Amino acid sequence: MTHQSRADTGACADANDATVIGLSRHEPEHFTVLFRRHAPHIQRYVVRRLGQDAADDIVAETFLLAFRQRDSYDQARADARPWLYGIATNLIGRHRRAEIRLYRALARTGADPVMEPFTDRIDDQVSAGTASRRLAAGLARLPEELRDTLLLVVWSGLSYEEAAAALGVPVGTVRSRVSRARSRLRRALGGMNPAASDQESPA
Amino acid sequence: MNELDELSRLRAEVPDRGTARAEEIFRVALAEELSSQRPVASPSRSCLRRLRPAWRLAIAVPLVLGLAAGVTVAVLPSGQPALTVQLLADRAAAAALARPPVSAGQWVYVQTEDTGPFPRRAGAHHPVVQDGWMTADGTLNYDAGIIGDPIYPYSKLGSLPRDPAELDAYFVSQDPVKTDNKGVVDFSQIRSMLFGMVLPPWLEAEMYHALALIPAIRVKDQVKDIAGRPGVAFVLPPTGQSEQLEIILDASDYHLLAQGSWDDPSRPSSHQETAILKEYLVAGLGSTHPSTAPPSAAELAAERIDFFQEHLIKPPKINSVTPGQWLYRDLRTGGKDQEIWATADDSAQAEYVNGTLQVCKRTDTCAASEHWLMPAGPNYSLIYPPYPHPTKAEIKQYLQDLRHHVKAASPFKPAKPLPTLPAYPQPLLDKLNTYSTGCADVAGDCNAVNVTANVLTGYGNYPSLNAVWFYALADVPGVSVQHITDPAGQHDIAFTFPSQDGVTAILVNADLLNAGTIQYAGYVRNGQQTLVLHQAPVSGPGARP
Repeated sequence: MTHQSRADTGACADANDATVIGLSRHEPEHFTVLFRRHAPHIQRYVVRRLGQDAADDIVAETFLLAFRQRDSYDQARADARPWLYGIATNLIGRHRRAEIRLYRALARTGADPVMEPFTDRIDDQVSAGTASRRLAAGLARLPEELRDTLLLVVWSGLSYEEAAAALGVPVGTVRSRVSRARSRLRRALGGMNPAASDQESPA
Repeated sequence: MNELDELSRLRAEVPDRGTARAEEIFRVALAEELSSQRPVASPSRSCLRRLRPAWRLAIAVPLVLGLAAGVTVAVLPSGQPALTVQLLADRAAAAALARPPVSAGQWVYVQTEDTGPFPRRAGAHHPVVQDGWMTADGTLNYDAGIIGDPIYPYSKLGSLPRDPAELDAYFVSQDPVKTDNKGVVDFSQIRSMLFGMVLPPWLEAEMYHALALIPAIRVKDQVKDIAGRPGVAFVLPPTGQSEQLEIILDASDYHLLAQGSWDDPSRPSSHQETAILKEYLVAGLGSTHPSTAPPSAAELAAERIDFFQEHLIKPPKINSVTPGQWLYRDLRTGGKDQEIWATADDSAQAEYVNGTLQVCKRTDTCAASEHWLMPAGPNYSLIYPPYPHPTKAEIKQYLQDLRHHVKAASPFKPAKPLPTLPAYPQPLLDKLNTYSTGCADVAGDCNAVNVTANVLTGYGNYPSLNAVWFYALADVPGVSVQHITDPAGQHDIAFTFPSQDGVTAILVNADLLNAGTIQYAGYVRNGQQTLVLHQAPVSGPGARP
């Protein structure tokens, strides 16, 4: 995966994240390289969870918190994405109710408030199918740690190992959370139709 | 299409809006941060030269920066001997069997407290307390979903194995992903069942026995939950594949207190817990007043509508029209057909009067007439107000303003907060009763019933009507539910009101509801039924489908 933006084409283009963070310890301005390199992807991830308006603030806050913690960054980690996604995930957690409300709105109405601002023509309304609505209902019901882990893996593109580093948990925990979250979502997608639940009866 | 594909597609079309605003906020905050420390050094190393030094304070953006909060969990050293897994299971099961059974549709008020976002710093306590409501069968819930997930249909609980070991085997067999760690799967399923619904006493008792049979299970005595209450816990220790999982029961009467997990039991910051502070039966959604009265037929009908709305099997035909979309409706009252046109948000209506098309906008005085099916007329706010849809030019201008540090209002936000109606039934009913619809029996909620009939008839199901309207109808004093066959030959559920003033019944198509979709059918006013025979989007007022 390439994660270097167009703004990042100067002499620093070949410097890895650890080097940039190292430089920023004495010369804070270097931290903006990190911002331009990673903010677009993190922003996209946050928008998918909380919508555009909240995302701007959270992305900014992510990098500010990262900046404050730059002295403790592990220089052995060339790629700062797990670190940044971990901070962003923590910040998203403070808006958990808002996040759940967004999933529930989608589940109940079929209109996704997250996508609404991106439709710039009035007849371009985003309408979700039944599967998306059920999926959203399932996401709303996931315990926070399962939702954080699953969405980090599926929406940010981090590997299990990177997600484990982001969340500060063993990689085995990421695996088990992803599998538990998946089984819940699969159930949600199967629907709650009592008429369709015959196959769920014990043999 | 599996759940991962679905998830990958969800909101995948989020466009790249750029990070201009976030960068601006970041730069401002960073400049403030640095100004409190030392002057900004000019970059000396080559790689930053070409970056624009935009450190000036262009937009003052308040940024709340709290440090990650932590939590204190007191786990007292085990001093009491003799509490074994079997003993705890026996006691918890005995206590469960002593509790009365609850009917499936009963609303339960749940107040939870949890540890909040993670990771946290040790020593700090930053709980999140939340009120929620769920039905006892776990199928409907409002903000109570955090605590559990009904993983098995309530109506089929009776067919679960009556033997704890077989129950364990069944839960393990139901893991669609076939995780190696069977103990974790089993424990999680049981935990979801215990917390996600109010189980029949016999099954709750069996769950505790089933927990006791999980090979690695332990008990922990003298624990406290995050609310500080003394408890005893079933504990599944961590493995390389999973975190430590806990179910905490009250130390004296063994009711469910909390569920917790630890990524690493030696690190308090890795602890997550959700405690049930309050849980008791109430009369309806949104109520915190204890009541063990079983749900009424009207309440159960509203729950059914709610259920199909959330787990919609067949979306209604007009599901996602935009607010300004014109809709054609064919209404029949006493054998006479009437054609009306209305925008989906009811901002305007139209009708042929003596061969001439008359259009009435909500903002005009004509809207106050009961003739038009506008719920409230010009004096009241729209119920589903239109969200601003900025043009491309406006978006472009906004982004340009940001780039040039001009403080600009986001075109995606309404200029002032949109008016909203209360989200829960009783407050909604109270609010609707303040609308004046010309009826006299105000104590009988006639105003609220009239407004609701007009809303259901006049709005274009955009995006789709919220079940709260039907819950509100179920809260009208003396409401009953009749099953009728209307003149169009449809079977309807009739919410029927004792007041003989204005609208006396509101009809929902029962055949369609049985088939898994929701279709409002019409109303009865002054003894005459008005049925919505047909509705469809059209190009404008006067146009027919």
